[in-house]
Amino acid sequence: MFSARTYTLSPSEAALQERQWVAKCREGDESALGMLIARHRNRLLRTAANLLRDRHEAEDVSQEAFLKAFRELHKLRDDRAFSGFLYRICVRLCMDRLRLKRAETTEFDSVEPHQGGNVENRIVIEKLLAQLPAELRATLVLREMEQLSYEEVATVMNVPIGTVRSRLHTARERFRKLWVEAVGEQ
Amino acid sequence: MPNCRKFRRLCLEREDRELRPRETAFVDSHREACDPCRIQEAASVNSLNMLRAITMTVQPSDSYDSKLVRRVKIDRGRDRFAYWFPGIVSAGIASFAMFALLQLVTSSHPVKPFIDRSAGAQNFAAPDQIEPRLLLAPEAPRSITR
Repeated sequence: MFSARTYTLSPSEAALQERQWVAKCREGDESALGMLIARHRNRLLRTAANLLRDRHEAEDVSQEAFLKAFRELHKLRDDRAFSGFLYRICVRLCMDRLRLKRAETTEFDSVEPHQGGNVENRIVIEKLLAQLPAELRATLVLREMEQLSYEEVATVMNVPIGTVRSRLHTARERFRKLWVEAVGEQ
Repeated sequence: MPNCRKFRRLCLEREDRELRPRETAFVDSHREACDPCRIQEAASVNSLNMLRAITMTVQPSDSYDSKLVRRVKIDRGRDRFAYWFPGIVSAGIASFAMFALLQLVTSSHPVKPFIDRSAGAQNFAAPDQIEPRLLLAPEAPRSITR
């Protein structure tokens, strides 16, 4: 495995280093490629896993995101923006998969009311998340699990901040209603 | 119920910003007074807490990097091939055309017209209109030996 030696660097130094790696990567330098992978793989993998709720699919999508980013490196005007560029690609790929999954599951099994249990809760919440449209689900996950700011969510999803606000509001409301239906709190 | 609507709006906004003291006081007083809003607030908080609780922290598998690097190499190779492919195909077509042209120019086989001059015909005749004739070679003198 590659290891990114970034622990002693300040953010500006890390950005400078990343810029150099991207420039080298354009020229086909394999070690720079490895460094970029090492720096970004964990974050990408975590986001993909939270969006897709599947570890193996998350690995596949994150690798696809890397591939696409390296393939479209010539489109990147500013080498410092590689991190955001890569992250955006990953989120979009995840959303494409979510849309595809949603289209495949035309009829969703209704969630039976249940009581307690961490594993059960996890399963129930994953099922509830699966009932939300891809855009709402992605907005909710990026905000609540990934702790991104409204601006970051807007940039990643390529929508205005107002849209993020309204989507988040709708997503939280719908998720609460689904949760109440599933758990039978109300 | 304008107060309930305001309460629910503030409950959602509380997730993203800190409420002002007046807003906090309103939320607290309304919670005490309105049962449905209290229940809804609890459900909302619970659902979001549950959602945050199932955040996944995934570590990449051991073969993650090697697999990815291999995929990048294959992808780059494919890109290179895709870049040269139209040129290779054009060159192939051009060379084939040149070869065919050269074959045409250099072939010197005379074309025989279907004219039966011995029969006195002046025009071209189709092969099936030509009467078949058996042309025998002149007989060689036989030597009779007894």
